[in-house]
Amino acid sequence: MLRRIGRAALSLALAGMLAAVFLPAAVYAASPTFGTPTATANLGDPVTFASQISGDDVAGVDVLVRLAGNETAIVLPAVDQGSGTWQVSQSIDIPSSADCACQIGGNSPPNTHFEFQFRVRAHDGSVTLGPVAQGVVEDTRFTWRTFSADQVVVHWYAGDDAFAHGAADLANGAINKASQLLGVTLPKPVDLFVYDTQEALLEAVSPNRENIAGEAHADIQTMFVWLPHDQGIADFNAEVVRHELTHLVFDAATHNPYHDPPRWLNEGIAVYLSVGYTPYYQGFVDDGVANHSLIPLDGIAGFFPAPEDQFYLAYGEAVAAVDFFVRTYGEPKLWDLVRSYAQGMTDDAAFTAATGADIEAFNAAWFASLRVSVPSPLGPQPAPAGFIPPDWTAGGATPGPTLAPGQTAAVHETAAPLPGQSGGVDGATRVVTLVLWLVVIVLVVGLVGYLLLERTRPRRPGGR
Amino acid sequence: MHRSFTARLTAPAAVALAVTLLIVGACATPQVGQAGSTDVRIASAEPFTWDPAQAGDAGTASVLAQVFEGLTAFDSTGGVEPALAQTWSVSDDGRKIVFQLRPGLTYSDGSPIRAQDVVDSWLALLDPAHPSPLASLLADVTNAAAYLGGQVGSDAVGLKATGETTVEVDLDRPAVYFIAATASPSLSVVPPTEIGRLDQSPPDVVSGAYLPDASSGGVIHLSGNARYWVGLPTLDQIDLVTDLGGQNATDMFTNGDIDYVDIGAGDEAWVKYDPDLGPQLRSTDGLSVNYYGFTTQIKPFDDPNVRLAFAEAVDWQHMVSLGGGVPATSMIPVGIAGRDDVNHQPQFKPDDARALLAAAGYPGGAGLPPITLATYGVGYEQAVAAELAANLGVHVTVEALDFNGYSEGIEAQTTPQIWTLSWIADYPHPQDFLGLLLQTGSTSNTGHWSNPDYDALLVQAAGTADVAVEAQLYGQAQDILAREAPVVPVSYDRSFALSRTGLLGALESGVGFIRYAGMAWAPGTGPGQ
Repeated sequence: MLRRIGRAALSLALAGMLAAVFLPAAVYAASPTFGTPTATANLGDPVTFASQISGDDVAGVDVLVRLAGNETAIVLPAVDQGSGTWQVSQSIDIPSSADCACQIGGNSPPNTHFEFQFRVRAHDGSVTLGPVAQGVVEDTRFTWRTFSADQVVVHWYAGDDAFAHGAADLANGAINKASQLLGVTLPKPVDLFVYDTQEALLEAVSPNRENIAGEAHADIQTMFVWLPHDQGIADFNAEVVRHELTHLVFDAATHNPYHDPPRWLNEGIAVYLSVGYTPYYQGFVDDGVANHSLIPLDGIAGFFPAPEDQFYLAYGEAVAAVDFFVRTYGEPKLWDLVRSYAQGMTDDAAFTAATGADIEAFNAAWFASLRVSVPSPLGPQPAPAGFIPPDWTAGGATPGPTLAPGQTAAVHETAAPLPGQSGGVDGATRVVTLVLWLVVIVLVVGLVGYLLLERTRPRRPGGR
Repeated sequence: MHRSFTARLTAPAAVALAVTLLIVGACATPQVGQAGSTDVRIASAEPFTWDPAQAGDAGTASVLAQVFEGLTAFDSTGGVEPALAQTWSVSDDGRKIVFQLRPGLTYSDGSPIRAQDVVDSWLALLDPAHPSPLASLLADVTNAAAYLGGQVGSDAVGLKATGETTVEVDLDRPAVYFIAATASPSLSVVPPTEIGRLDQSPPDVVSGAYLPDASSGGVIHLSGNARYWVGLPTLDQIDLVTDLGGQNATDMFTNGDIDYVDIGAGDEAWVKYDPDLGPQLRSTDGLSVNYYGFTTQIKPFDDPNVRLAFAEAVDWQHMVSLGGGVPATSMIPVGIAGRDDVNHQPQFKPDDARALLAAAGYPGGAGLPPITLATYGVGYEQAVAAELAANLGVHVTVEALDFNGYSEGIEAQTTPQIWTLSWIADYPHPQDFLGLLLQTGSTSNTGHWSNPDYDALLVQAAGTADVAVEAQLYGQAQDILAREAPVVPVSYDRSFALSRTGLLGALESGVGFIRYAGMAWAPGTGPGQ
């Protein structure tokens, strides 16, 4: 049977092929006519696509949706609303879906520019494509102003021009530093959306999360950040801006259709370039060393741990490992390592090319420098067995039994419980349990009776 | 000297009492949850349907397997065991199987489970008006295909109830895997009062271990069926949490909100080192294969050379390894008897691929029509598209479809397509992969490929229970696949889950689900402990 695929089960393969665009309106066989397609994309609401379509041979209608300039299309089945209007309204995270093609759902963040196109399927299976239209998810809660400077377009609604200029300077500084070191330039300027309150930021990008001060979306080349206009930009969340924009440059430097670099390398470089291996992060690592709770690097290659203490420890370890790399091999080797991922190298191949040894050896060397041993995994562990019906063969060691012609399978009948009998264990166990309890009751009653008899029996004065 | 009462308890009789109590404690039935409470909370898929005859995906099957019972059932290792059937026998020519039901079986409402119910449940898969997506599970049954195609009535199908407890199955050919197939949730027994009324509504009467409530607030509640053939399950009140509400799975597990939940490889990486969660981590090598296929009935993929060119232009092994997956070498997953160890995957030969494409009339991809690659998120799509562009000069457009209706969606298209599917065993046998997915006329043969030599090898293999002979025949069949490339096996699956300490029997078999009726809490664990 078909296996459902969940996002978490997938290896994330960031892709985004930028070369081609939609096919032009083309006729393969049938020839329906299309009205002007429309899309309504308000922040937080399902995106609604609609079009008038007429024709005698319309078996089904889909809407193809994709990020502007992206290759991968999401296919949404449209519904006939009557009077020739076909429509689909769906919550959809276009960037995520277009990148890893793994989940059609969620809510697209602001500044998601997309293209869409209706497609009619005739009864013989032939298809006709309608005209291409564009849309964008907009955050209409505020009156946005924009300021462009170098590699950044600042979008802000609170504060004066100087505030926006300060934000642009901060962002450009981070991008320039990372770009210079990683040897890559961003494909287009970053849209920096500045929110005056954290609440406004969260409603825009992360309604289900807390304590987010900013995040960058490489697929739409956009960063969202909470920067109050009445506080100094250099003091408030400047680290967040530098950190997140470093991620965008890192993504551009490592982009490949096969796999992502280890998470710890990405986060470690973002911290390293935004603030460095500071005493704040050293504190987490020192505690980890003292508590013997350091996580090997392969344990933070995917998601970072969910428990808060381990989450911060992972950040500390990430930048500590990057710092160790730089101290051992020098910064140029680090940037070589990062860039090698763009060539579709495995982790081991990338590390071997940069350091002469694979990633496990690097991890071992880093742990050794901290004078701690690399811990062994504590799982997976085998699941403990449960109950099996009495006439089953205790775990069926041979999957997929087959029976040759002429054979008969006989099943033990003695222990099988009668239908309707309650209890989740087999009949034999029930009998044993019942007998044992009867023995206990008899023994207890007998003992108590005997003791009472003893206590009430007249005793001879003076003992024996 | 006066003996104290306490002293008397240290006497041999008291020691015997203590030993007896210990024995009783060890053998005691684990705590049975009381109605109204919840014994265990399990993260689960939301079933697309409650009708076994209409189910076609593993997520739905994992729920239906708790609700409806078949003649046989899977144990925790994927082995097949007797369930509603007590015995079965196979005729000398291998073309008749007779199942004998256990005596006195009843549904949850006390009405008897009859042999005719088995027949009616299975015929529902072949209903010409509403065929099952897995109707081909019964492809070997005499006249099954003819009934499915509307050529004969149901009476002509080789499924007969002879008496209240005897089911006779006539087969067109020997099919040694048929008994294993009856463990598939699709072939479970549905009460006559429920046939035809199940779709979005959960059943009121069941043949399995649990009676479900309608989904409410992202939770399906299962209540134990006291008339289940094994008896009331030990954990008789179960919440299936079908919607985590956007919460992190490991957070919910850590907070005690859920006792069993699947997690991805990204979380497994750190969980395995976590002092608390690591020992509660479980893994399963699924009996599943992720594969790519071609629409073989239209140009250009009706030409085996074009298919082979596309197949040999991608370095599948390298691509999967880079993504951290388990590369496939066969359409049959590891762990299934009858699988050989030969690498049947088309080899990466970009030069040969270009030559094949040119020989087919499309040098450098020139002249090819627009080609799409359809996916519901199996993965590797972007890498495949990139390799086809780099190594073959062919541009393909990736289209992502929602899982629900994906199969129908890609089959409805008549444009040239490459598509991807993930298939998990309905029953652990090569036939479920090579037969259901690729045999001529199979309802799950998405690419509509057909090859008489291949079909003949499968018929031959179906008649032998000798695993070595099976492996040889299925190996030869896969050699044909490697030459004609209607499909390309790409990767296998390893799944991970968090299972609460003390939860017994939470063993996910390779077929993708746990038998909840076998679960219990170890003494001193579970709710309230």
